[in-house]
Amino acid sequence: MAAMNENRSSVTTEELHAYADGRLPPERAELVEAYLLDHPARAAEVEDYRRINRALGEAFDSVLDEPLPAAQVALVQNRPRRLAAPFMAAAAGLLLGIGLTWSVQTLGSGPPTALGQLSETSAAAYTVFAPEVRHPVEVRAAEAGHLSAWLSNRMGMSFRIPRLGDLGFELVGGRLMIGDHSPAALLMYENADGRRLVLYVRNDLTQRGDSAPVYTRARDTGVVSWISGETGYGLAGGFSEGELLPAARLVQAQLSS
Amino acid sequence: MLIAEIPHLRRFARSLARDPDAADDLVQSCLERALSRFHLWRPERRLRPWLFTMLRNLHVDTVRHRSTARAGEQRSAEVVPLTQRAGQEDSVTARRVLDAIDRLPVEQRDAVLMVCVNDLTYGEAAEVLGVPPGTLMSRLHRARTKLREQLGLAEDAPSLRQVK
Repeated sequence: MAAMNENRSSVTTEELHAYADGRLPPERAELVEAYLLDHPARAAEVEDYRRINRALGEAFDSVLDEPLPAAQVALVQNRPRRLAAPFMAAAAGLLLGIGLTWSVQTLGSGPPTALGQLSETSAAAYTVFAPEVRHPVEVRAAEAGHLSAWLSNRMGMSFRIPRLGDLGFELVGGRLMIGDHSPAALLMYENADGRRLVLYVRNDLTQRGDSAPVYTRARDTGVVSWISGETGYGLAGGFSEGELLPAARLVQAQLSS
Repeated sequence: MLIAEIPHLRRFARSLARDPDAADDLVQSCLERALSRFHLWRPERRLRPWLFTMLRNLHVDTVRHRSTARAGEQRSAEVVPLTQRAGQEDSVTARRVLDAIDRLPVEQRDAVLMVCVNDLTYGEAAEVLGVPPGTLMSRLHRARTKLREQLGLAEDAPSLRQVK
């Protein structure tokens, strides 16, 4: 008890600021909390610091959700290749850290193609995320506006969420994914029977191209993938070609209009 | 990687420059400078403080071109008449806090914006400002003490603290 009182009295002004800013390690934060219970004047100060922080958050945090100016995105995306190397190295470290190293298997023979990779990643994403009961997505469909703004910001594109209601699929939500070296997106849809499909979108293809929807089947997952410019799409689920192709066309029609 | 930093750079620039177009010009210049000096960035360093340091230096360069007297005039012209009640709930609006911050000495203003608007660690914030961490903390303390006074929080009678 004596030791604890000693600790309480040794709370510094710096620690009060760090506490107000949420930058104290939990064990110190507990001590500061106990100290503040005994010192209402200091507690009032800390509360004022926090109100000021909240006011500043109100003033500036909305900037984070604004669409990025095209000039800034263009500048960063058109950077010369040699400058990209350190970014790639850092991104590769990130990939290892998360442990999402999908093997890129070739479909059939020959070198891996952009379409093959898209198809493989989309199928893997379906296998990993579609069975999730509690955490199928990071952002739920109820916050579709935020989801769209968030993905737009992270991917540096105007990200529109396609509607598949005509085919009986409603949006569950979405999550951030990884392309080759930059953010990508995954949207999940579900029909009345609880069957799910996912749409994987990445916009960091190294070679521009245009390729019509192609159906492949990997294990039990059907995938339709296609490429438009630098953006690749993969629509995956436990469905046949006859079920997936119309959905792919519906997505294409909405994203190109 | 770099693109993911843009939203944070834009928020930081907005807190420094306030005017959205001026802020985006700053971000654009900062990105150009970052790309041209990318060979100087060491991957073991976090990207954000490095970018923030460049953006802040650009801002300081821009501001230096204006005379301080003029900046003072503009600032006082921007102060909104206090038509709001002086009650506790209304006293900490974003507008009033920003006005109060703009009346702080520039080192204190920098310290408070660097810590309260961005999610840098204290160490990184000190690095961006080019001061030792202890200096950052004492500036932050003086800034917040003054802000409480200016916002009418410091000498409040307990009854005014009650939420009505």
